[in-house]
Amino acid sequence: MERLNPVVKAAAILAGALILSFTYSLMLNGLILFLSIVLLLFCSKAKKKTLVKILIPAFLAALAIFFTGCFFSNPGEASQLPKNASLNFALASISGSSFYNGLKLAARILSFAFLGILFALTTDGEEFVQSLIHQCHLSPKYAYGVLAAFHLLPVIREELSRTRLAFKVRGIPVTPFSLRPVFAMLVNTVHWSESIAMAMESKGFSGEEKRTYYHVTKVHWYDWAFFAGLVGLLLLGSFLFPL
Amino acid sequence: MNLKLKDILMVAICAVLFGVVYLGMTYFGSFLTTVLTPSGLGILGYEPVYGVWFMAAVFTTMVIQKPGVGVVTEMLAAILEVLMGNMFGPIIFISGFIQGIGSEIAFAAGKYKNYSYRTTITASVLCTVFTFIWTGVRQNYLTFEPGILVAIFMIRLASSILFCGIGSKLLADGLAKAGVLKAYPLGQKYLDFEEEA
Amino acid sequence: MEYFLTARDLTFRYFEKGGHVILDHVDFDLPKGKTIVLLGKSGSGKSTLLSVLGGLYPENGGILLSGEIEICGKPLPKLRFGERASYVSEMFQNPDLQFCMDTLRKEMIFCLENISRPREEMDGRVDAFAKAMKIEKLLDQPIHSLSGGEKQKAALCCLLLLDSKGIFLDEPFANLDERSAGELQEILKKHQREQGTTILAIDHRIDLWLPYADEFWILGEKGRILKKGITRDNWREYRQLFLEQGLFYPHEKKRFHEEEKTETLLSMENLTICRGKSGEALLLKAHAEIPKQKFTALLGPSGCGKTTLFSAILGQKKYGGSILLEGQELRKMKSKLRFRKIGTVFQNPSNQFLSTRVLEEVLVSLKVWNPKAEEQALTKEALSMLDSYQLKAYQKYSPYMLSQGQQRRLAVLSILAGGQKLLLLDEPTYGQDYASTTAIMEQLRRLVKEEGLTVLFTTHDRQLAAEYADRIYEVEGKELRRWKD
Repeated sequence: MERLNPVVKAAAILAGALILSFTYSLMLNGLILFLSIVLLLFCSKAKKKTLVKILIPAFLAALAIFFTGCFFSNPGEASQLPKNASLNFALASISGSSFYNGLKLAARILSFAFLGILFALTTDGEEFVQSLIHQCHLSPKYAYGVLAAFHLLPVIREELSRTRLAFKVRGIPVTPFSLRPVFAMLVNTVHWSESIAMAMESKGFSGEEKRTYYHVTKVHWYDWAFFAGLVGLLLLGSFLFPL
Repeated sequence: MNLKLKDILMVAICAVLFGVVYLGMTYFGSFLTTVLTPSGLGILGYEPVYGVWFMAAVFTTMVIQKPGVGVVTEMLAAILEVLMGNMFGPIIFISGFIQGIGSEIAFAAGKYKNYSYRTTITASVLCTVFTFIWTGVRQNYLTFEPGILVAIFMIRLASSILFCGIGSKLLADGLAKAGVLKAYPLGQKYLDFEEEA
Repeated sequence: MEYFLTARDLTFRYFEKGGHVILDHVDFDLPKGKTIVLLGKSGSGKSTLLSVLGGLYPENGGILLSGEIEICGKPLPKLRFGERASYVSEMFQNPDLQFCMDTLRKEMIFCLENISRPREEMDGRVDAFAKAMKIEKLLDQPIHSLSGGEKQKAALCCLLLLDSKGIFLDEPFANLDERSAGELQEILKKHQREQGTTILAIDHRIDLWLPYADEFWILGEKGRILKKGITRDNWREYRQLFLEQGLFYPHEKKRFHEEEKTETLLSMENLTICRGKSGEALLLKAHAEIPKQKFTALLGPSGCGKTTLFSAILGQKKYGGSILLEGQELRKMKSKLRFRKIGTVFQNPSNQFLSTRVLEEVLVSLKVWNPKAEEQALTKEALSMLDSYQLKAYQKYSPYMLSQGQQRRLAVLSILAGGQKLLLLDEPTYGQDYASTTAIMEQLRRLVKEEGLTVLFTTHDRQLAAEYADRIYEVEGKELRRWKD
C-alpha cells in the first residue's frame, strides 16, 4: 500500500467512498470493511497499535449512530424488512427494522472510517503533497505554503497554550470556547505569514518558476491496477447487493 | 486568481489555527457523544462545535476580499487534514469543497463588496444547509425520524451562526480595529484611524 | 572602491493611502567583500531598508515610491527570486519563523531545489556541507525541538548552502547568548574569508560585532546614514553620537554586588523540572531563594528551562521537590489565589492583550480584581497609571499599534493593576533597543524600590543582569547557581 502513488490512491479511495455514499447495502459495507482490514493487515506496514488508537473514535461514532438508528429510525422508510425478526435485545421496544437500520448506519460510518484509515495509515503526508505537485500540477506556491504552515503546528500549539495561560494569570477565565486567545493568536499570525514568506523567498523560492525536485512521484501500472480493482469491485458489489 | 505567497501562508496558517481550536473542542464533542450515546442522541454530540469548522473560510474571505478565497481556504485545510492524518482520509476534500462553496456563494452574492453580518450569517446558513445535505447522503438521513433530523439541523445551524456567522466577523473586525490588518483590504478601512506617533 | 550593491534615491512607505514614509530618498553603496553593520534604534527604518535592498519589499508589502537598486551591476527587479538567491539571501531575527520544512536536511534540499540544482547532486552536497559545518547531528532532528541558538545556526547553514555572494542579517543574535552568537560569527567569518562574501547586518548593539565587523554605520531617521567609517579602533570617539541616537554604548561593566540582608519571598527546594515531551530533566534538585522586594535575575542560554520554571511557579507544570511562596506550598494553592499573588509578562506581550484600546486594557484588569468598585473611579485610576508611564497619550490606540517597548510596558502595567506582589517577567528586553531596554528596566527598578514589588526576570544578557539585579541565579548543569560578588 505504501508504494502506491498517493494521489491515485486518494482518488481510488475517494471514488470508493462516493460509491458508498450513494448505495445503502449492508453487504457492500461488509465487503469494504473486509477489504480494508485485509489490506491494512497484510499489505501495509501500518502499526497495529496506531490502528487501534485511530479506531476508537470511529467506533464511538459508529456506536452513537447505531443507537440513534435504534431509537430514531423513520418507520416509513426503514420498514422494507421482515418485521418478525425478533431480537433478544435488552430494550424490547426497538423494532427489528430499527435495529437493522442502526446496524446498517453504524457499518456505513465504519466503512467510511476504514477507507479513510486505509489511506491515512499508509500515506506520508509530504509525499502526498509532492504527488499533488507532480500529478495534479498544484503550484509549488500552494504546496510549500501548506507545508510551511503545517510545520508551524507545534509553534502554534505552544503559543495558544501560552496565550491561554496569559489570560488565566490575568484573572480572565478561559474555556475551550473562548475566542479571545484565538484573537490574540491571529494578531501574531498575520505577521508570521509575512516573515515566513520573506524567509522562503530569501532562500530563492518563487512560486511559479521552474525548480528541480528531490522527490519525484510517478504513476505506475500498479497504481492504475489498484484504482481499477477497488472501484470495479465496489461497483460490482453495489450491483450484486443493492440492499 | 492570483494570491501572493504571503496570502497563501496567511490562509494556511489560519486553517491550522482553526484546526487546532476545533480539535480542542472535539474533546468536548467526544465527551458529549459518549454521554448521549445510550439515549440514542449520540449523533448530536459533535453538532455544537460544527460551526468552528466553517470559520476559516469566512474569516479569510473577509480579510483578503477576493473571489475564490473561501474555496481555496477549505481545500488547503483539507490538505492539512490529510497531513495531520485525518481518519476520514481523502473524502474531506469533498466536505471541504462543499463548505467552501457555501461561504463563497454568500460573498459572491454581495459581489465581494458586502461584508456585513447579513453576509456572514448567510454564509454560515449556506454552509449548514450544504453540509447537512452532504452528511445526509453519507449517513442516510432518510432513514431517521424527522424529529432527530430537525434537532441535528437546528443545533448545527445555531453553532454555525454563533461561531462562523458572528464569531468570524467579530474576529476579523477586531483585528482590523487593532490595526494589524493594514496590509489587507479589510484593514484599509481603518487606515484613517490613527497613525503611530 | 568596488561596490556589491548600489541604491539611489529609495523612498518607501507601507501604505498606499498615506502614512509615514519609512525610507526617505536614501542612497546606499555597499562595498564588496566587507562586513558592514548598520546601527540604529527601533523606528529608524533599518529592517525595512534591509528588506528593500534585498528585494523582499515591495514584493511582500509596501510601495517603493522612487529609487533604483543594482546588485553587482544588475538591476534588482530584473532578477527572479531563484537567481536573486545567488546574489543575496537574508537571515531574520525570529528563529521560529524561518523554516518551511520540519528538518534541516529537508530545508537544505528545499534550498537546493529553489536554485534548480540537479537532484543527483543534492545528497552529496548536503552531507559534505553538514560535515564541514559540523552539524551532522542537527540534520534529521525536528527543527522545532532545537534550541534558539541551534535554529539560528541551521538558518545560517541554509544561507551558506545557497552560496550567495551577499548575506544580509536582521538582528541575528537578538535572542542568543554570547557563546552562540560568537559561534555564528566564526562561521560567517570563515565563509567570508573563503568566498569573499559581502555581509550586511543590522543591529542595535555594537559590542557583539566589535571583533568581526569591518565598519559600523549609524542610521538616523528614515533610513538615512548619519555616519560611516566607525571601526573597532575608533568607536570610542563617537560616544556622544551613540548616546544621541539612543544606541547602546559599551561602558565599564558595573560590578555586581549582592545585598545581604533580605527576607525570602519565594523559595525552591530540591526542585526538579522536566522538559515537556522528552522528559529530560532541566533542573535537578535545584535550590534558590528569591528575596522579597528585590530585583532577581535568572540567567541562562535559551532553551535551558527558564520559561519552564516559570510555568512550574504558575502551577502549569508538574515539579518535584517544593516551591514555597511565603512558606506555602504552591501546588497546594488554589489557582485563583495563586494568580492573585503572582503576575506574569510573557516574552511576547501581544499574547496577553485583551482589548483593542490601551485604556481598556488597564481597566479590564482593574475590574477583574476590583469587581465592586465604581467604573468612574477605576477609569480615573487607570488614566493615572497610564500617565505615570508615559502612555496616557496613547489611551485610545490599539495596544498592538504601540512599539514593542511600549507594548511591554503596557503589559507590565496591566498586570500591576491586579496588585500582585510577585512579578515574573520572561525576557523583558527581548528584541528591544537600548533606549527601550533602559526604559523597561528603570520602570521595573522603580516598582521594586518604591512600590515594594518582588521581581524575577529571565534574560540571556549577563551584563543586563549584572547592572540591574540585586541577586542573580544562573542555570548551570541543571542547577541554579547563585552569583557572588
